[in-house]
Amino acid sequence: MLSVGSLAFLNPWLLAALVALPVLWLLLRATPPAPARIRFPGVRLLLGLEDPEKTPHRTPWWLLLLRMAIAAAAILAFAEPVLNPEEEATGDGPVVLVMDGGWASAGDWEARREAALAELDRAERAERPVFFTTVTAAGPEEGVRLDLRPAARWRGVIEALSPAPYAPDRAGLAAALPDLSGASVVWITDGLSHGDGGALADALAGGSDLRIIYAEGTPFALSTPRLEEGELIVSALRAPNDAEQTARIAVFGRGEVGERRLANVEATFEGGEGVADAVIDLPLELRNQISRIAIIDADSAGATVLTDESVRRRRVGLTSGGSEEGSLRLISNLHYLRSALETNADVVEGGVEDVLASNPDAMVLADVGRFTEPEREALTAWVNGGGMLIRFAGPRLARGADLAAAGAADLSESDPLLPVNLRAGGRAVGGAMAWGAPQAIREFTRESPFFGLTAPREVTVTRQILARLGPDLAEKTWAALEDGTPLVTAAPRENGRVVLFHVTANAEWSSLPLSGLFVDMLSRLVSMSGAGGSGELPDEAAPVRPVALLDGFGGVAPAEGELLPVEAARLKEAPAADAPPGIYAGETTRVAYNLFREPVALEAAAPAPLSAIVERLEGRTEQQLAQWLIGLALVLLAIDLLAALWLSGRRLRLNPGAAILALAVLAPGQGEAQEVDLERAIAAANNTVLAFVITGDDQVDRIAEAGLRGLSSYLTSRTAVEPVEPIGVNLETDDLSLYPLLYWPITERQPTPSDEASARLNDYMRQGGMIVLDTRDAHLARAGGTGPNAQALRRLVAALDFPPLAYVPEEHVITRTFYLLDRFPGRWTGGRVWLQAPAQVEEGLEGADRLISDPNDGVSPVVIGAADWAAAWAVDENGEFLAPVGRSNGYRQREMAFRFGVNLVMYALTGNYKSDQVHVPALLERLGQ
Amino acid sequence: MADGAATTTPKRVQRVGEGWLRRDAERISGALPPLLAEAERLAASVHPGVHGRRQAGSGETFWQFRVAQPGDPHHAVDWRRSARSDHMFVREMEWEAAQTVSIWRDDALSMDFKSDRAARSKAERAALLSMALSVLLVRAGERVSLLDTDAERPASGETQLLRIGSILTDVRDDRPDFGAPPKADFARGGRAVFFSDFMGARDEIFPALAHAAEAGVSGAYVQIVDRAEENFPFDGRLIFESMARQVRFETDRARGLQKEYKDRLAERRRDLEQTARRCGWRCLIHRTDESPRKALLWLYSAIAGGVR
Repeated sequence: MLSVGSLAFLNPWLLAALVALPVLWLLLRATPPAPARIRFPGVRLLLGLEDPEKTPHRTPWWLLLLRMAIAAAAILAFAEPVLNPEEEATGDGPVVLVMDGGWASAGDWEARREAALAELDRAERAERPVFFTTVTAAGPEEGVRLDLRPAARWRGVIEALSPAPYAPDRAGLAAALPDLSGASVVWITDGLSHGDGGALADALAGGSDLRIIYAEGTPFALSTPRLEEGELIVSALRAPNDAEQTARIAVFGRGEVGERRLANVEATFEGGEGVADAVIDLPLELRNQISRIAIIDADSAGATVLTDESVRRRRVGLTSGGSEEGSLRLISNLHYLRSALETNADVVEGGVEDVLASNPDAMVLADVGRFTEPEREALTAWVNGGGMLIRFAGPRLARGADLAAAGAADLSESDPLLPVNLRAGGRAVGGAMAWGAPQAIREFTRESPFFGLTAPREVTVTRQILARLGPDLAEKTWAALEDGTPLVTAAPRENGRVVLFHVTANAEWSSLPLSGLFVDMLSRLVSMSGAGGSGELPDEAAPVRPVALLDGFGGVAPAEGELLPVEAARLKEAPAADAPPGIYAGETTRVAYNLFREPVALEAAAPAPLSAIVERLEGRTEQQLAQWLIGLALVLLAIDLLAALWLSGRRLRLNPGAAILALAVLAPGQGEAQEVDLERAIAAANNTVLAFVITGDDQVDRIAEAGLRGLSSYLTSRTAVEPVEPIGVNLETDDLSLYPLLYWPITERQPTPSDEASARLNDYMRQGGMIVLDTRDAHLARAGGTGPNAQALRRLVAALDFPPLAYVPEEHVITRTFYLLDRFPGRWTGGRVWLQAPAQVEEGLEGADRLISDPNDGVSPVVIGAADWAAAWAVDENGEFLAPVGRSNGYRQREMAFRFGVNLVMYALTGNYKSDQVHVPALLERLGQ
Repeated sequence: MADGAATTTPKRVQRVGEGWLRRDAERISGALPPLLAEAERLAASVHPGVHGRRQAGSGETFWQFRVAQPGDPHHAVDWRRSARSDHMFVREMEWEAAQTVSIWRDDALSMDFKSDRAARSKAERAALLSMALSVLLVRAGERVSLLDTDAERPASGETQLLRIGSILTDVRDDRPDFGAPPKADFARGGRAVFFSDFMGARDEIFPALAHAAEAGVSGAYVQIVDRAEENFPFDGRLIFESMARQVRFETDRARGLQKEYKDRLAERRRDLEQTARRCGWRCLIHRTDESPRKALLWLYSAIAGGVR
């Protein structure tokens, strides 16, 4: 192989032929193009004349150059030039090809696979045996056997390979690798350390030579979202570098149908940083729906996190100090709490210990004054562990405070379950420290978590518990009254927090629980809670089984059950082959198991061993140039041919016949089609034509056409309506305005009409057309339900502007336009028929106004049924019925089907004329006068 | 009519079956009408005019009455004139002697040349002009002959026309590459018209022309040329060949020869005109894309003018 810069030749000895080009030059120069022969009577006059110029004897220099170029291109092509050649590895021992294959490889997986395949190609050319493995592939415990095979045998393996959703266990492979001496080693790596400390690089360096192929840059990852100060924060991670980068993060949530995108956020890395936080600012209801967060375009398991209960709906425990039984609902301590919390949290009620057992995120104690010792211990432990305790004042708490104040010799000793020390005795209007008037709430300060909420003026407090003044009281106060006395105080307790409302949870002391502010305050408090989240697994030994798993590209798929359940404790460690990331379910909980739980920057790989050759992944793909050169030579040859023709005096003439032929081939049958369309349109405009929608299902279309034909002949024989042959219309192309009635059988495989077609159908309905939709599945429908084609119907008409629908009411005009009917059977009986719901005639809308409000004259633009009417109507050319109807001979049912068809057409054609007939007596009476 | 046709194409007549004469006559004459019809249409556009000898002789026009002499045949007596007097009168007609016009049409291969844009070959144009001239002359009572063919004997009448027509539409087998006027026995005092391209060898054409002049005939040369022969619109590397490929000329750049070719052609025409002037002949250059009527009018006036 000969290389010149990025170009190399596989058969360089062929280039020697280039030396022969000058010889070719001489040869070509000597051969003039063959002259043309012309018969010419004046030739005798020419005899003896001398050519004035002799130059055309020689091939023109540019033609010569062209031919030289052809020859050169051919020679170069056969020398098999390769752009970006990969140097043949030295040595002839086996080739060991190692890919990381972890989540970090997923982003540019194709490039990596191409690189691996290119390595295989090279090994194949050198006829060297190959061993291939990924680091993530779980090797046998006793070690990896060097399974050497011909390169071609690995191709399928590599092509079928996809990245694993966890980090490569390089140390494991390093330990398992056999002696590599004599082998050329190629390692395609992702550039992250994955905590291996260079062990694998050292192990691989044991081969005769090592090449390491990196990608430019390192991938992003996402850490498990967490709640901080009530905000949902997700961190993008990278290996720190100096560049400023932005990760765009998409937040997905469960929708009614599937996943939907809830929000896009951005996390910007400053130079040198490895962690960038992004706040997901969503209403709680939406935030509770979040199921997956992923970096856009990163497509890897590391850049995708699944969420579980820990960022979702909070569980709130409610405990009341008083007895709930027998008390009136509206003055119950818990009633307002329950109503306020229901919308955005799970509410658990019961005694303190019962509630704690359910592991709530927050706990509300309404007027609980005293605890038993076990209760107090449990509560304290729970609060310290991260729980949020929200207490409301009340008579019992006040009494407890009194007792505490009375009994406590040392005032500095404070209750850990209260944020502040309470002063004995409350304050009320008319009390010892009476207020002149009920107090309103002061605006929330910036430090308060309630900042941003507005306190309505009508919310007043008539009675409250007072806190003892202390140096830190102001700092502990989250909400205060106009006069500065605290309304809500809070204090942290290790990981948790204690919050006290200085009023009752019912409306006795204040009107706060009656206001919307109460709901907002509680939801803020609840969203702040959750560090002691329910996403924790209670028991470390309990087995958890995977429910849904991430693949290497960050896709979520249900676990198929090939993985064994693991112990819950396993989930505290990093994911690996035995426990890939995903959703795991224990007995009572579901946990999201992600690659990165903590927002810690990724670590770039250690520098490669000095002996290794380091290559970049990009731009290493070999490109064979031979075919391009051959193509170039052929094109030049064609040009040469034309030039030679031109030189010899023969002009190329465009044959007009050929041109017409070419045009005819290019534009087949345009005119014909238009003509047919026009004829059809004229026929449809001059006659009454029933039309059906071509569904693409031959059988259905045939029945629909035969059905309308049958109905047409029935109409002709019994009524004044005499339709001609029915016409099938293509919704996408045909003009619908010519048909009074469009019969549309629904099939599952029908393509959804395009937006334009839907718009034209809407127009058609608005202009007075009528669409009869037939799902043809009444026999399959469950009792009173819809049949299987209903789904298809919904899909097909999704973009159509249907009026509100209702079952055909009794006495509806369609039941009496020609025959008096009470059922509408087709091939099947049952199945209901839907129409536009009869308009509620508004009072005051009379005459013209009413007409304007109902442009279609009260005729339903759509009729939906399931009885397969066309099959009941269908006749062949001889008038024989095509489809069996009903039991025995079904004569009666078919007759009724035809009668319905007649009524339908009459309804479509005459509109509400028939319904106006009820006014005939009144009109006659008026005429008589 | 059948007789004349049978003599020109004796091989085609097969005396088998009933009515062979009529059948073959129609078959043979079937080839004539296009040329004849075209020629007659062309000839009809030329009005011949009076052509008498101003002395008594055989003719159709009345000349004078003279007193019958002994020896006059009795059927020559004009009884109506004689009845008015005592003498017998004989009616004399003006002498209308027929002129002999010999036409030579060059049917060599070179006349078959037709360039891409031309509608007719030179041979076709020559045949048309020959025929039309024959029609005109026969109508005027002249005797026409087609030199070097079966119709060489001067004659008049429809039969001669048909004979000439069939010869003109017939194609000879052994045609030479270039043609030269025949050294035929011209009727002394007669007229001759030569249709050719005069592209042949110099030493063949001009002696033949001199021979005709020496034979005491006068007339006209019509050089029929194709547009391409006049303009020489060729370029590139070419080999020019005569129609029978007997003469070749190769050039590398034909365009370079255009001027010299035109010079040579002009020289040939100058020679022709010089010869004509010396012998009392006239010379016309006719291009196939010109109207044949122009040439026919010129010819008729040249022939008739020479007579008066």
